[in-house]
Amino acid sequence: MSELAERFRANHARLLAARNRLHAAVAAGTATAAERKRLDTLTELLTPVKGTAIDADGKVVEVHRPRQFLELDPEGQGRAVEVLGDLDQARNVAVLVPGMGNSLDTFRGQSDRADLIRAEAGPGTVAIAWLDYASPQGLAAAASKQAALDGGPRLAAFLTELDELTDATTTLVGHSYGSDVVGQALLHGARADRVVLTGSPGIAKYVDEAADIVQPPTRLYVERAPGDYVSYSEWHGPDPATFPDAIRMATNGDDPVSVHWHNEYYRVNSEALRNIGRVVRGDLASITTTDTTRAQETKLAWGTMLNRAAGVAAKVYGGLAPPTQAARPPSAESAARTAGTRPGGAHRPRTSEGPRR
Amino acid sequence: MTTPRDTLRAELLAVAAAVVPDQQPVVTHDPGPINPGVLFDGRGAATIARITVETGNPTAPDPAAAVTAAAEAFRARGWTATTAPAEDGHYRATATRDGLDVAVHAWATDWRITLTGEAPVS
Repeated sequence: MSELAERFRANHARLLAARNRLHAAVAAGTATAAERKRLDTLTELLTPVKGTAIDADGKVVEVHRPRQFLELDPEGQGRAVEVLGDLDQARNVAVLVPGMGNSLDTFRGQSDRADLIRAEAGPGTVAIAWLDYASPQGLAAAASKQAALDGGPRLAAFLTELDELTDATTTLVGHSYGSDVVGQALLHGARADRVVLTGSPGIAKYVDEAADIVQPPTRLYVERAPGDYVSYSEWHGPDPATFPDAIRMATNGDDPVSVHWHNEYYRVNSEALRNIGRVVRGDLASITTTDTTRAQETKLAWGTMLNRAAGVAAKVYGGLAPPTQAARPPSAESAARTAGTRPGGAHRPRTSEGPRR
Repeated sequence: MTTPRDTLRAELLAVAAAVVPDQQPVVTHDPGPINPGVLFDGRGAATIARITVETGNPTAPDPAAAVTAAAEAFRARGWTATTAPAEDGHYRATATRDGLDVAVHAWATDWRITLTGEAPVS
């Protein structure tokens, strides 16, 4: 049995043992509500995933296999690192790092989003949902950088381990607070071929350009949707969407699916999700970009209200993590430098992000 | 009562069967209600359901034709569907109807056609 298969088997056994323990508590009438919920979660995590294969007659058939966990902690808040796809055959790997409010009991949604990225990036892609840090369980906790400072080195160590498991091209994808965890990992020496940050509250006071966290040939790709108050507030540092040497990807295109606010980057058929898929599979020439400033974005219908909300948020959290630098729109020079050095060559026209259609 | 999730599942299976009539489509993903904002805050409500159906013609895959056929099948069933220009061997169509959104993917490097849809949880 390979090392990878042994890891999956061991975590499956860990899940089974935890489920049986909780099942016994429920049967004995001693289980709490939280334990009953955890039992449901563990039962779901033990349900095999489905896929397709071809049988001897050339027919498409349904196949089942156990879910693949590289890490699993069924106790307390719970943690899990799930591999979606065949890591031994992977050409591209996306590691998705979620944000606040997450636990093992919310893992269905994270796994689902990782699966969306995998579908968008295409054959040969493996997606990994990485929840191996103490995701903050509320806004007050999320105002602190502590969970990111603790989680970053763990993520860096995981990427080193991943490097030994596969030769695939690796893309780190961090959303919201998860983007801070990604940033801390990079500051702790994590290596990835590409990095995507969506809806980032910033990484650190002194991190105000991509070169502070990634070195060539690794590139930083950033998405900030119109009205994303989390990015605007810069709770943890300067907004990566303003880094002069980051590639700012468009979140809206010609399709009717629009992306606004903080939670829509991973919508089916959105330009935001498509661009993430393009990065993961290395189709960099097809990426669409934007250079809208916060001021342009907040001229939208909800802009004034959002500006106020961001201002309030900045004041509330200012004492904990004050931004030290005003947001900088990318200069023409930096935009040209970015375009000129983009792997894949072609530069598609920048897309203005308009109001909801 | 038929829910949007039931409708989405039935529509995906019907279109997949229309695109590759001699194969049995497979529902590969239907985990139940999820929180669309989970990557930001997992404590939110589960308000959408996502379903993926796979089919394909393993002996003679034609991703461009498959995606076009899927878009036509959706239109015939009352959906608004469009196909996108191919990107580096990636063929895609989108379809929408009554709050349901579907992405159709086919690839030059794989025989599979995937139909991924989202429905609100009623």
